Formats: sequence, structure tokens, C-alpha cells
Amino acid sequence: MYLQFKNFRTTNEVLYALAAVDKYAATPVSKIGLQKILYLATSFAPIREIILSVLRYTRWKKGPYSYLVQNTVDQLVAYGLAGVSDFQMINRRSALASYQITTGGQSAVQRLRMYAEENDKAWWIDCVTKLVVIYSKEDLLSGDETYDGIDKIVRLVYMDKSFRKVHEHYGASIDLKDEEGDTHKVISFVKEFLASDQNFQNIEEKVLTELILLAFFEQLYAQYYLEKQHGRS
Amino acid sequence: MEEANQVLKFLHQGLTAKLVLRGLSTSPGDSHIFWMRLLTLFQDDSYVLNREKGPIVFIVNTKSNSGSSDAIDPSFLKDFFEKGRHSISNVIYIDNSGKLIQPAKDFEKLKLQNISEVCEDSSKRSQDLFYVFVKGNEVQFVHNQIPFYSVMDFFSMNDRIGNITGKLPVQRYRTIIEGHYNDEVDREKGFFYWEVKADWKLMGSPEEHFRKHLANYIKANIADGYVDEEVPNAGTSDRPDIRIIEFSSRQVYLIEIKWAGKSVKTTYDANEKANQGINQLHTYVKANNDCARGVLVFYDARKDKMDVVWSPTIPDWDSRIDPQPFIFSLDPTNASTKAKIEVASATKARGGKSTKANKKR
Repeated sequence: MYLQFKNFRTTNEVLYALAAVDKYAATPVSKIGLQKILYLATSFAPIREIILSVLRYTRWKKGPYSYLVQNTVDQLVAYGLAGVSDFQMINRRSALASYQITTGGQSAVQRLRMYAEENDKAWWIDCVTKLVVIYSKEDLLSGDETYDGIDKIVRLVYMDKSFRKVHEHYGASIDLKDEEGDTHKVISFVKEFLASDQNFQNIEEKVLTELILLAFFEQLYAQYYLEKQHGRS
Repeated sequence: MEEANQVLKFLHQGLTAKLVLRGLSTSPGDSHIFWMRLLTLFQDDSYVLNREKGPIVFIVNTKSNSGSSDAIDPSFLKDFFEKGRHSISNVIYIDNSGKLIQPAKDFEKLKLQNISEVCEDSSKRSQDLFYVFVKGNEVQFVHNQIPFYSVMDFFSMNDRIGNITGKLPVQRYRTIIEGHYNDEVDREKGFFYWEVKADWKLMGSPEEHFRKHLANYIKANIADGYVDEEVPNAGTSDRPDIRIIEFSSRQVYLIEIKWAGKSVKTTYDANEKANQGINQLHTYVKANNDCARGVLVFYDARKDKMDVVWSPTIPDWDSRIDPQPFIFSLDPTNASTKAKIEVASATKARGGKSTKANKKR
């Protein structure tokens, strides 16, 4: 069967995220969680020096949101590569749904990963998702009853420097393509410092990438802790 | 750039980063989970209710994943203490995911009671192993004879958050060092250094204790740099006690710690030790072109305190050596007695007589 997707790059990336959630959390993921995984993967992508396809998000209810991601996951459901595990109508205009990759979706991911560039993107999204799952279970977040499971990561996304800039501006656009963007500049500074630090020269590239990514997650966590302590969250 | 400094701080001070840099982790995410699980275990009653029975040591084989049952588990630890195994050996030998490796004949009767014994034991074994030594509320990580990471109080979030954030720039090092004396040393808050107070006698290896506590305090309070301990200075074999590196300028600040008075093992003369510290700083700053400042921190535990006679005199010191060395007075008078003295001093002062306490000279 040949499937034609208008935004095949986005389709692949959403599939990688669904596959990684299945691997690390073994649960379905809501559109809130899925959006946040892809937002973080894109915001931190300069660490790996890759470019993901959805570069523009909107400051929406519960953090950054992309219509493209939402349309793509619905498309994947239509083609049987993802399934809807839970569906609840909230009101006439909105619904809560959870998605899980299907066997067909897993098989598609396996095939896509045979291409080096796709494999690299899949690896990156896998890394981000793993940390999203880990941090959503951290003490500070796990006690948060506003969100469930992976969705709790919203609290850390709110701490992302690019997002903080538009936090108060509902409907504002977040352009993650911008090399002068806030998170991008922080990543460039960090990488430049490490490039001249001899201690970091002998670390295998993927291990170093994962370590830098972990450092960014830890920084978001520390910010969240401090905000909570000062009662601003 | 605040966020970049915070990320860099974690990459230089965080446990996971240290494990990766020592070649003990190839999966930072998994190492992070491992550490969080250990912390949760230490905060659990299975440890807390048994910690008076003595220290425990997890020996982690980073190259093994062949363990069986989970050892980072409260029911395992409860049995370990309460079924008498701890009294035979305080070592728990685990693989890189926290599972128990058995049989572990090498460790069957091994008891490691302090960090020196842990360091010594690590020198005899494979470099694929690292040690997690837990005593009271303190944890220390050792690899290949070197304690490379420590947490003073694992109930506090200070260590974790301090590895990211901090309030003061490196250039305010004087405020930070004074803060450590005022917050922890003088008040003896979470830091006990007297062996016999009545005899003005410090515990063994005081320099090591002062270094560890001061380094941890600086780590938690510095905003734009990172701290390490006893690392070689600019490629030489000298190892200053504490080194701070500022991220933006890459300038180095070196701290040498000395003490005088009595400890359980020895007695040190103030003039000799303080001047020795300055001489060492001269050697360090000369060898290191990036060094912006050399600082002496001197703890004076003598009962009869007298001013230090500097030789060479201060004007002859290298200009990069801080001309106002820190001389902190240690006094074993207990806190309530100190408080009474302070109240008495304040009362006298109100009566027109100046009796400024000689706590910090």
C-alpha cells in the first residue's frame, strides 16, 4: 500500500514520537502531551543540529500548539498508523483524545529508520520523549493534579525560554526557526563553550548530545522548582 | 546569559555529567533515573530507620547488566538491615540498572566504614566499578580512589537545584566564602568538626572536611561558573583545594584551605600553616596564566588566638593573591553559650561599652 501525505516529514516525526511514547511509557498519549514532545524536540533541535518540520507554534491553552501536528495525527489515525484509545467530548468545540501507535505504524517507523537522516530524527525524538517520560514522573510534577501522565510536562515547557517570551500573549506565534531565538542562542553559547573544553572532547557524540539535552531538562526543572517556591507557578 | 550558565553548571557539576566524563555512563537518561531511584530509597524508612546501624556501600558494576533482583528497593534494603546481612558486610553489589549481582564472593565479608576505606578498596578493583557510600544523610561517590561527587544532605533539594542555579557571580567570591562561615561553620549547622570540644580538638583530617563543605557551598551559590576540588593546576602535579572557573571569561579562582590548632591526630602552628598556604598560592598562580585570584581560607581553632605574622609580608605577595586572606575563628563554645555571650555583649554595648565579639578577624 502506498500512502501519500502532503506533509510527509511531519507525518514521520509524529510517528516517531508515538513510537517513543509506546516504548518508554507504554500508554496512549493525549494531543497535549504529543504537542509538547514535538515542541521540545524542535526547540532543542539545535543541540543535535537537525531541523524538524514544524517550526511554528502558537501560544494556546496549555502551552504551545500546532494545528499541523494535530491534523497530522488525525491523518495517521485515518490511515491506520495510529489508533484513538480514548475519546471524550468536552463541549461542542473541543474533545479529548489519546493516541497510540499501531502495529502498522511501528512497521512504518522501522522502514523509515533505514534511511540515515530519518534514523537520526527518530533517535532525537526518541531521546526527547524518554526525558519527557522521566521528568513527567518527577516528584514536583507527579503531584500536579491538573494534568495526567505525560501531559504533566506542560509545566516544564512553560519554563522554556522561547515560550516564556510569549507566555502572557495568548495566540502569539513562536518561531523556532529563528536562529536568534532565545533557546537557540542559549544552545549556541553552550555548544561553543563545550567545543573548547577538553574534558568533553572524548565523549561519544550521541552520549554528549543526550547529556546536553538532559542538562536543558534539568534547567527547566530547576526553574520550575524555584517558581513554585516563590509561588509564581 | 543566565540559562546558558545554568546548563553549563550542570554539565560540569551534575552527577550524571560526572559519570559520563569518567566513562561510567553511556546513557545519561538511564543514569539520571538510577540516581533518582537511589535518592528515593535513601529517603525511605527502610534506610532512615536503620541508618544508625552504620554506613552502607553500593558497588556498581557499570559493565554488567546481568543482575537478578532489584536492590534499589525498600523491601530489599529493609531485609538487608534487619535480617543481619548488614552486620556481616555493608556492601551491596549491583549492576548498571540497580539489580543485585550474585554470587559476589569478593564482597561477602567486606565492611567499608569510611571514605578512606572505600577509596583504598576501589584502588584494588576494576575501573568499571564505582562506589556509592551512604552514611547518615550524606552520600559520596568514589571511582578509582577519587571521591568525585558528594551530597551533604539528601533530604534537601539544595544539591540538585544548586547544580543549576546560584545567586552570586564568581567575582563576589568573598561574600560567598563569608556566607559559608556565617551560615554553616560558625553555627555548626549540618557541619560538625569538633571531636572533643572541651579540649579544643578538631576531628581527623579537618582540612578535608572544610574543603568539602566550602566547595559544596560555593557550588550551590555561584551563578556563572563551576567548582571542582583537588584537580591538577594548569597541567602541573599541584592540586589546589578548590578551583572555580568563570564561564564567560574562563578565568580561574584558586582557593587554598589551611587550619591551625589541635586535631585528633596532630597540632598545627598558625604562622607556619598560614604562610605555607600563601607560598602554595604563589606557586599555583605563577603556573596558571588564566588565574585571576588566589585566595587563602584559614580556620583558626587555637584556644589562644594571636595574629598571624606573614612572611613574606602582604605587599610582597603576587598581585593576584587576595591581600585579605580569610581568617576564620573557630570556637567550640556551644550555640546556647554563644547566644548568651552575644546577648551579654549587646547589653554592655547599649550601656556604652563596646564589646564586639571576636568571631571573625
